[in-house]
Amino acid sequence: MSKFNKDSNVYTIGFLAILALVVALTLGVLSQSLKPLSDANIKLDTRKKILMSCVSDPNSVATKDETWINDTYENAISGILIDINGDTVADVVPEGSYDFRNEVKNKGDARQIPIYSYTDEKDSTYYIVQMIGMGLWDEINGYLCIGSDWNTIKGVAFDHKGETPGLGAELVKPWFTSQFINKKLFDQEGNYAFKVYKAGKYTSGENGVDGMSGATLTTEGVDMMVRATVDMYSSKFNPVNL
Amino acid sequence: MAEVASKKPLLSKQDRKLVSDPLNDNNPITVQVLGVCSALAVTSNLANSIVMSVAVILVTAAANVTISSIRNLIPTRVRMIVQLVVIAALVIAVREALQAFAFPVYKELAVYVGLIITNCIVMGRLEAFAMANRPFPALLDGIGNGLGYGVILIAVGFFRELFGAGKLLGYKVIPNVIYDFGYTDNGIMILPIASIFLIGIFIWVQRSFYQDLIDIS
Repeated sequence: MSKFNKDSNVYTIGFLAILALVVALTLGVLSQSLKPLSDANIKLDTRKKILMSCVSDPNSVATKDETWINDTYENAISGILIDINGDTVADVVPEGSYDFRNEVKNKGDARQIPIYSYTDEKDSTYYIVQMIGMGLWDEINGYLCIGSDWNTIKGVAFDHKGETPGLGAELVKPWFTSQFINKKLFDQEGNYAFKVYKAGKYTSGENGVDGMSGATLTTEGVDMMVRATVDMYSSKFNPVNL
Repeated sequence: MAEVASKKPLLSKQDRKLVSDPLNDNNPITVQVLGVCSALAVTSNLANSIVMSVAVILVTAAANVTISSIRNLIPTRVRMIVQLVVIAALVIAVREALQAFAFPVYKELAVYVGLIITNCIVMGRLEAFAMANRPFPALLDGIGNGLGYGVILIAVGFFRELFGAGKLLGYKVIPNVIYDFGYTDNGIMILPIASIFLIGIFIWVQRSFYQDLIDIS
């Protein structure tokens, strides 16, 4: 090392340039070579979440293997894209290339949003709509499965990007999601009445669920997300029909 | 710190000390008081504490070895930037690998992995040890400090989950009979503030047993 003056500006800048190059190259190659694998994982995870929102035993989905998930999904679920008036604009939801987040945030009224239909073993049909919202730290999202009356909740599946483990991140847990089953979004008069209560404030009733303790803001985020979803799909959620 | 001489059995007495010291006498959390922020944030239950501990052990060990291997090339003035770049690169690599090969674990870990970059212990060990020692002792030092951190994290997670939710690793351990007598879970234990109390108690207990730790900082 005697040849170099380690404290010279040239050496310092040169060292950092090489370091940056090496690190960027390594991470770039790593990221690109692993991309097909991660994309496949994300696609499978999406299918898993859609199934978890609608099947009668959502907890069992987590333990199922890839084949079961793909087979069940392809047999029982089909998706379409609708526009703001509720008219169909595409007969399939292109998996992988369809970007719900981008549609909702950037396209305003021109957005195309997905509706999946799920047919269960007894040939009853349910509809699944996609949700997106904000938790305490970052995005929360999920799927809401609704009966053909567009009022009774069949199930929900949530996911999050950065909620606090043990507090807000509890929104994915069965104790929270299972409360939504068979609850109603609208009251007898047809007004939107569903509420995710602050932890401990929910007592009974078909229009509410109990929130997560220690996670007031995530709880409010879930409440607002469900409300915003019903609003976004207002061409379908039509309380006049009740 | 002096360089540890080579040509000894695989783990010499000094080597063993590198691993065992941070567990008690030089614990990163209770004695050096580093990495407390993440010890507060992710310890609301035992499973999270364990996952975070394993991740930090891996990163401290790998970062220590990397920095130690290039320590003679690093310009002194920018050494901290170099250390941060190495830590960040390792953390991103771990994240990418998890996303591709262990997606369920990735979904659990994603939150913590970002936290590791800002964990003062990792950079503290690079600055205090890896910059002055060879890769093998640096590896042991990294593992030792990761373990010392993990022990405290797991202890905090244990008490918080037990008293906050009556569970351990998600399983109910406090029998319903006790609840029937009027026992309730302590809501404050699931909030981060409980970790402050618990770590404070750990430091108090440790220093009453080992008087020579008092006022070393």
